[in-house]
Amino acid sequence: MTSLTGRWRERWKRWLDRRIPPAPQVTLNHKSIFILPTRTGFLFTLLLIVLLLTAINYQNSLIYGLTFWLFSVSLAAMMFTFRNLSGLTLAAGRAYPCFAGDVIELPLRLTAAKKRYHEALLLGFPDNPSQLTDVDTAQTRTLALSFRTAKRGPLQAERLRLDSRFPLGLFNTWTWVKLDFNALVYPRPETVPFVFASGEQGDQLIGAPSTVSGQQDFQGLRNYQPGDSMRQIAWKQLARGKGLVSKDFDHDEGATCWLDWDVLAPQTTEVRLSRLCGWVLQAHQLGWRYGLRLPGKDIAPDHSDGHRDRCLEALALHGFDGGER
Amino acid sequence: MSANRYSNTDLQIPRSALFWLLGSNVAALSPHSQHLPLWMWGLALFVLIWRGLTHLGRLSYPNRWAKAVAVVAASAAVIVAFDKTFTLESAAAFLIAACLLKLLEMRSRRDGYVVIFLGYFLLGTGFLFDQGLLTGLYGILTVWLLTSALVALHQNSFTRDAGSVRRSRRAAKLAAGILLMSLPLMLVLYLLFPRLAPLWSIALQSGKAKTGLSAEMAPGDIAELSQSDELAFRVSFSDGQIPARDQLYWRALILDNYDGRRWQPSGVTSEVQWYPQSWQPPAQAEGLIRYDIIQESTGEKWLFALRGVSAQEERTGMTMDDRLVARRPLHERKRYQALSWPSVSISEDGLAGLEQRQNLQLPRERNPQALAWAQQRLAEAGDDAAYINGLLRYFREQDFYYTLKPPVMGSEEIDDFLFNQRRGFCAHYAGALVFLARAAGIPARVVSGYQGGEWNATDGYLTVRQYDAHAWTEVWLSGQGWIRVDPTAAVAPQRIEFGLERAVAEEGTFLQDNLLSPHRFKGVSWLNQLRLQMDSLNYYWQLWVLSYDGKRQKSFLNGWLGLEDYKQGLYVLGGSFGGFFLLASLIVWWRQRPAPLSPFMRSWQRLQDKGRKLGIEPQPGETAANYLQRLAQHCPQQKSLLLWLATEINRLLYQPPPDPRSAQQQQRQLIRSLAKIRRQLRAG
Repeated sequence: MTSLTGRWRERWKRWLDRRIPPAPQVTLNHKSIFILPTRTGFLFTLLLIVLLLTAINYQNSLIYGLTFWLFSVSLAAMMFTFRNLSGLTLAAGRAYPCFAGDVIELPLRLTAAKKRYHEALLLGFPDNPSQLTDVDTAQTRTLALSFRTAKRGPLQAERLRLDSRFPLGLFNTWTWVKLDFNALVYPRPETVPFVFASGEQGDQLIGAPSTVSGQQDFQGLRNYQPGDSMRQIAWKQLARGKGLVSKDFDHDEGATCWLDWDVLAPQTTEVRLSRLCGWVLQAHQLGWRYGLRLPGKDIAPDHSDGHRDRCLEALALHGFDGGER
Repeated sequence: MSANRYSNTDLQIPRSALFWLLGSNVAALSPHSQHLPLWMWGLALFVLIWRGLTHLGRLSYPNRWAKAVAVVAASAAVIVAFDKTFTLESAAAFLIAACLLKLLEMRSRRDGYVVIFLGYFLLGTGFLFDQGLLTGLYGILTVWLLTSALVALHQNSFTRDAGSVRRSRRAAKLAAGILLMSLPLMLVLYLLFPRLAPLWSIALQSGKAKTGLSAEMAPGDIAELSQSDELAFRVSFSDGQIPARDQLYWRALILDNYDGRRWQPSGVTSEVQWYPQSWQPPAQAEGLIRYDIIQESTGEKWLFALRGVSAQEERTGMTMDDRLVARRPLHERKRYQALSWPSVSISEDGLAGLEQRQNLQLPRERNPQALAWAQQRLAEAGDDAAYINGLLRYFREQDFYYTLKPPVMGSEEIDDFLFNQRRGFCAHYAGALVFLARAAGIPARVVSGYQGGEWNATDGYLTVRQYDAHAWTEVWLSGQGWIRVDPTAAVAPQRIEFGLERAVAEEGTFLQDNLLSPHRFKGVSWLNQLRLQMDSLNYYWQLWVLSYDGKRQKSFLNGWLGLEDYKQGLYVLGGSFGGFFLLASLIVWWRQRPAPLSPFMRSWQRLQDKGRKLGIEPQPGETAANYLQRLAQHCPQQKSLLLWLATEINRLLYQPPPDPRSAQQQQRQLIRSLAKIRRQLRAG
């Protein structure tokens, strides 16, 4: 049974991919919009039947008129409901990276068609919270859609669903749009103690006062330099109005290490990447200079926010062809 | 899944929609005001105030107990108010009470749907009570309000301007747009949808007593009726001419049984011949009158017709005593045709035994003075006709008065009227004359109906109102058959010539109890003009809108569209539906057709097509220059040409010559080079 529904789902997905192909930007038209009556629509039909029977049995012209008018309204409602989506342009924005398992905020730009006011649009990814929004005539509105990520790598967002019952609620019109969000999902960080392999290749923490940890003593204050971590900034001084000053520690500065794929030898790829990810974050926080050694890719030791992001990106894209993007 | 998702996030009624919901429902209830008990308005006010306070956060929603108590109390109150009768009025009251209570407790959008759909239905049931022109216009307004409420119910309630006037105005505007757009299809359906006969007969009818003739007549009844200016029926004549006023006796009932106090139909002669088996006058007969009547609902089977009537329509028939009747009681307004031959003689060869006996029936033990007097007069007059004429002369010459305020008669009514009071209304005179005729052995009967009416010369129709109600007599003379005798004409000829108003002008009792009636002010010319114009508007409304039934539809299909039967009508109906959708999809297609490309873009695309064949796929977002460079690498022979083209294109795009003419020229040149290069393009 499940296999059957699974097969149908696959088929449905393939059909959707043909009909509404993934793109960075989609303008909705009759090809990508679906429409069906709602339960309220059926209730309305019941009302029409009762009215028609009353008109026939009492031979009442005005009730006939009312019935036919409401019937025509329900047909017009179909068109108006369709028009509420038709012409709307959805475009994917660039999202900040996140860690696998976290909720990523995906920016979505909605642009109204000419002379069209799109009202009460409900947007969201399946199994994720949805948002209700309006897009005014010739306006662009940007939303941040939440999507809970599952896997590391370039973001594989599902099709997002856009629903609307506006204006009369008799019909529901919807679309499934697949947008290419250019977002990266880092591996889920796993916090485990550092393991530095000994050897000549600089596989251990070099130049640190203690090989065990990054316990440091405060040394003094110095002027802020770009690249100093947030932890280093002397917030109290800043609050007193003395400008941006960094705390200088008798830190492991200069302590250099290599975070190596190979020391996590028996583990699976994903576990290794998770642990490496955790180490990168820790090492960055401790202020070390760290290098990353992955199969086929070495990143020389350094310390900066940019360096951290480079390392995380390398981890995220490990195994995906092309490596970097 | 999706449905749940939708309703979960937007369960509540948007705040701005509340006013629409309350307002539109009050609008839908208002036409029912005439038949609702007064406390219903109290309940409505109570609900509005409570709901308003809830909206402001001063009061909470009613809890479950309060709701249960309210439902029980309201139901009980309706049952008591309508005396446990189940009529249209009490059913409507139940529905309205339910709607009001729902307004109080509604919270979710689904409640909103229920309230709005109930509103539509209430509007429809309102039409069962009144279908006037103003009611129709008011109905349009109400449909608009209800539809606006439905739109407002779906507006986004999470935006900054939620609940602002601007948004409400948008809802109203959108609703108006939807309604206007659906008008054409509604008209097509109204004209073409088959008008069926009632599928089953409905027991649920209005319990309201209708003003109009009643099946029996006590002397005071018609005087009471004459205080009403309500419409009874309208007539138009097929030749556009109004017959002489003294011919306008609209017969409805034969009252041939007298119990000493009231006149009633005996039913002896009420056997019906239904159309088309009924009698038809010869086609070449002189003085035939064909007419078309729109009759207000009476709740009775009788129709109104002139003397010598012949049924002309399905479901109508004529009785043995020359009346027109319908198969079913008229609970709705009815339009029908009839043909009359006023000069025809009826039963001139003699009466059947039973009919003869019934039309001579008298309670012999009462009114002894009148009985004796009749015998004496008959002996003096010699023959029947002279006797009747003598009676009329007697009424005219003696001091008989025509009044709407007759004194109360004693127990011997006819005696008291003829010899003491001598003041009375048409019913008194008709009753007295029939009594005297029967006392003299001449078959006679009271006829009740309407006499005269107001002729609208511009639009050519006659309006007959309740105050035109009248009673007169028919006597049977051998050789002549039944002939009409109207004693009122002898006493007050103005009544017949000019109508009731003139007849009671001196007395000042015309519509005395109906102070605000516009008919009291016929003397004020502009007011009267206005009234007549309103009346003819209403007439056309009835003629074209309300009386559009199966028969009218058939003639419309036949005459206007040239269709022979329903089957063709259904084809047209289906065709117009198909046309509607075809047109809609054409419009959608036309709106979304790709914009035509400029000649330059077209030739550029052709170059790209060629490039594709050579395996150089254009990348999304790639500039023209970039693509040409890639192409140049692939085709070394044309390299210089391609690179030259790249710079030229860039120059045209980013550094166009200031005057448009040379820009155009440059563009044309470029198009030519593009075509040339395309032809030469070859992989290296």
